[in-house]
Amino acid sequence: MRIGHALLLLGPVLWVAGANLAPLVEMARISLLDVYPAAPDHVPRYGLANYALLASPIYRGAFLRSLGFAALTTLLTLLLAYPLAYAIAFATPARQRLRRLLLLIAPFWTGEIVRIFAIMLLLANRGAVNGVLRWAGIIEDPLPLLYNPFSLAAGMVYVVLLAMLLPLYAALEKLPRDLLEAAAGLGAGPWTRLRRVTLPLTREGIAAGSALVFLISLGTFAVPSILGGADTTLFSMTIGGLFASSAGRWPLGAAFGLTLLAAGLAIAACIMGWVDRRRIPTT
Amino acid sequence: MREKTGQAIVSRGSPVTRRAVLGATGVAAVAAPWVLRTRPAAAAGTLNITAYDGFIPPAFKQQFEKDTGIEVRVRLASSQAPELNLLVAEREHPLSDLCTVTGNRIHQFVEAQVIEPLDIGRLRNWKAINPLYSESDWIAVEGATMAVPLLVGAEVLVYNTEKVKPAPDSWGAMFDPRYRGKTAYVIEDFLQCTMLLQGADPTFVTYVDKPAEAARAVNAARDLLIENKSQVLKFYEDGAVLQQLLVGGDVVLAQAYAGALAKLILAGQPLRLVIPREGATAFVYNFAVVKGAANRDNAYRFLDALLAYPDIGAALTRSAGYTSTFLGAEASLNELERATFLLTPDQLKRLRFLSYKGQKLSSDLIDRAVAEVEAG
Repeated sequence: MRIGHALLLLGPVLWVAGANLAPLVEMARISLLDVYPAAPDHVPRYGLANYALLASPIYRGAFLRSLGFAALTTLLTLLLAYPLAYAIAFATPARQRLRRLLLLIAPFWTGEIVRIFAIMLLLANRGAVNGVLRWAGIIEDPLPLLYNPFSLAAGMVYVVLLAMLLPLYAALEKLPRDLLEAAAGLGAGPWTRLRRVTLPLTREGIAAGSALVFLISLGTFAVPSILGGADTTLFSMTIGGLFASSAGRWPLGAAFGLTLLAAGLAIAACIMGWVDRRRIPTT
Repeated sequence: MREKTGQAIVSRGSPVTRRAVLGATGVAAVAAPWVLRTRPAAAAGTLNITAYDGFIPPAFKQQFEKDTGIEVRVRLASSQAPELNLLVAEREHPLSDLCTVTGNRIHQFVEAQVIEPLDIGRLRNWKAINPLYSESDWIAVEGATMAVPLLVGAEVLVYNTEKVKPAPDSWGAMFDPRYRGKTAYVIEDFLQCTMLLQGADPTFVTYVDKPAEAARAVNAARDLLIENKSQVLKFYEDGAVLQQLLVGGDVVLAQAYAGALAKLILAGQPLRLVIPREGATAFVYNFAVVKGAANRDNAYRFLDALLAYPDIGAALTRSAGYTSTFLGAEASLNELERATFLLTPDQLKRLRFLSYKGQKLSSDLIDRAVAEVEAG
């Protein structure tokens, strides 16, 4: 039986090692090099100089901006997704829940790029939002809705919504209804029930969704590239630019990429750790 | 238990079992990289080209395939740096036979050992190229000719004729407060245009032995861009993005490659292109044979066919949007096409061709400045 289990585990372990760890190890190796790709006769030199460059104000600014933006996206997505998940879990008849959830998920069956361009069609000068506002006589000239922090945030929240919605729905759906009824019976109003019962008992869903959304937002490249403007450069774009450079700057891109990954994982671990510390004992 | 009994998944009695399918899939998955990697190299009657969009006129490709039976497979590239990275990554097993290289990058491609010297003796139509380009020193490395010049491109200032008045004639218009938030540019390229505006040398040839002076010139241009960052709506990299920005009215003034915009003008968009009075950087696009090309003979047949008629040069101009290097190509263009695509003698005088001599020095300085402008 043990051999059977070991064989069963072998496939996933090989997959994780080959598809996830091996590229990261190779990226870590490249991050220590002086130049890559290099001419065939180049003798490689290894060092930590690329990691030290993150301290320069140029790159540090983009790095911190990315962290801040990922935090903002996480907060906005949580504020939008929680009422949605709550409405499906509590205000929808049980037999219709799955149908409504699928309706919300349906746009996510298309590719990310298509969804980003759909946002662009909505927000463009000649897009739907400006079109309706002009038709209604509210504005004469189109509002600048694209290529700024607003379009970036709107696009990002739309793209990552599902990653927040599903864990929240799962947490809300299994929340015992009798606890809420008991709280109401003891005189707790809706706000108190939300604050003292619902939110604490769905903390794990909030943490899982937040960690996922934070990690996705931190590394996203397509959204800021398409919807962002001159003042919304994120660190992922800086990294992308280094990999597109022909001056052998992959090592710097690799070092920054790994640093971003480490920062994201550390923050996600902090969020999950916070949940663990405040977990309500079940025994 | 089903897996152990090898239950048929197609039909009862079929020899195809789940285990067999899974096994075959596994073998296919393991073998796929080898098959995918080696097939282009081993196949006969094919030609693999890494080229920019429009650099192979569709009608010419179709005719060539019909006449020769050689299947032409095109992999699109969007700019030189990623293309070079790709070719370097494939150096051991090249997936391309021909690649696109700009004049100022030829030495970089040679140093990276991704292209090989051209055997001009195999190109009967070599003389169809304007000697201004075919005999220029930048396509030669250590006495060997490395590439076939195809098209001449230039940086231009593009403006919306209905929104930008009077017509601009200087890169300085990009810093005019009236167009705040209505401009767009490629940072790397506009940095060089800004150097021209400031009287510096964007080709870096005059700075070859003066790196400190080069750094000062780049930093001055960088500072001006950072100071005026509010002027620009979008840093773009793809010509299609700029087309969208201009057509949508988000941007009224931009630095651009002429090729991306010529088609919009021909389609009736209220746009005009200007080579500003300070001048503009220019470059020649070439095809080069990839070192170790598996279909070398086909590559030479293709290049020779491409040079066979001036009409093909005109077709290249139409599909790519740049001026052809082929002698007599302009005769096949109509008046509007000539006015849109071709550079006048006066404009040609203002062009500053990028050179490999300054490329090495400029790469590091400009890369760093680009990151600073972007992040600043």
